[in-house]
Amino acid sequence: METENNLIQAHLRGDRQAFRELVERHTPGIYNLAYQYTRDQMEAENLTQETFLRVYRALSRFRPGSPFRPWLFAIAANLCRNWSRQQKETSFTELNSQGETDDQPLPMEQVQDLLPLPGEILETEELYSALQDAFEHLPEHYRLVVILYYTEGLSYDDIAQVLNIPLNTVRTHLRRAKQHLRQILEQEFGALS
Amino acid sequence: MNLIENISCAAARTQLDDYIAGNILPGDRRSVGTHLRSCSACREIFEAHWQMDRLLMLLPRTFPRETLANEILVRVDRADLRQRWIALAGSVVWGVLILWVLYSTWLGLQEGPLAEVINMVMNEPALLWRFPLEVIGAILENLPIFEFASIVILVSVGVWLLRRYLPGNMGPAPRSMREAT
Repeated sequence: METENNLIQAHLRGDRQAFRELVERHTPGIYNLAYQYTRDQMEAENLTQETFLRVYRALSRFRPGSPFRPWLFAIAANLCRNWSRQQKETSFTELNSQGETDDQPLPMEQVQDLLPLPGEILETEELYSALQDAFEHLPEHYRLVVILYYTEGLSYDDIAQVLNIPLNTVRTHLRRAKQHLRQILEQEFGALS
Repeated sequence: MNLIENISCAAARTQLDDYIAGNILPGDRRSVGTHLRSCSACREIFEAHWQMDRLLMLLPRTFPRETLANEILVRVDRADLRQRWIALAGSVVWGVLILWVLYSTWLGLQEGPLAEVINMVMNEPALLWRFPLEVIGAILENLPIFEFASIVILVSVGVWLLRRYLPGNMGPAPRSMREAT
């Protein structure tokens, strides 16, 4: 299989098939990111299309040898955040609802009070959908980190590059995201407490 | 502060996610592992983290429609074509403008003081390479500043347009990851 860098070079030499290969290879990942972020198929498709359109325009300035995937996801993440900003401008509904306080994360000590999830619930459909609901209530910047790490399998370094944040902030976001999710799940699953 | 195996609870807890993800140096991994085996409070937190980690791995990966990639390519092709037409139209407009300015400059030269310089060069072409700087200086001295500036501006804009919209180099692009984000 051709590497991304070879495909980009081929594309810049005029090989149309090369760009097709790049699109086909990365559409699922970008769509997944956009869908998990927007929870809307149409929006996710639009964002995916827009991402590749921008990539097409920018490829000639892509630095050969640098990793393509983080660069691609950086463009997609940026579009997701722009989309979110526009949503907020057009609607008064905050995505970050239920009085989430992003800047006041749970202190580590409070985690001790959170009981572990019962193993038997892990396999139920109920938890599955509860997890997705809880995920939607995560603050946006945590959600992006979680998607990139857990569903796209990007490393901490790559996520730091994609979101243009320090490596330690990636760690912090992931830790706080888990704490938030746990809190939300506990609110929904009385049995957990 | 509870110190077990030279590592405090606070230090162990900040490393739990890295410990779970395997992003930790072997020495630190050993320290955290030993600490967890000896400290029930931290182990409880570790289990909670570990369970949430497993749970997040269950997050479903959604897949696009099969035709989405093709639709993207069609849209890219359309945008590409549109950009090329815009570039072509822009280039034609700028080309006409440049020609117009050149033509008016030429007309001015026919009748102005620069006509003498041109005639001199036409009669003795060797002047061009013998005294190029003098000739250029003479041209610049006699060329109306407005027309000279117009030519420079128009040529620059034309070159910029061509560079921007030539195939494979469409539109503004981020030069770096920072710019992309």
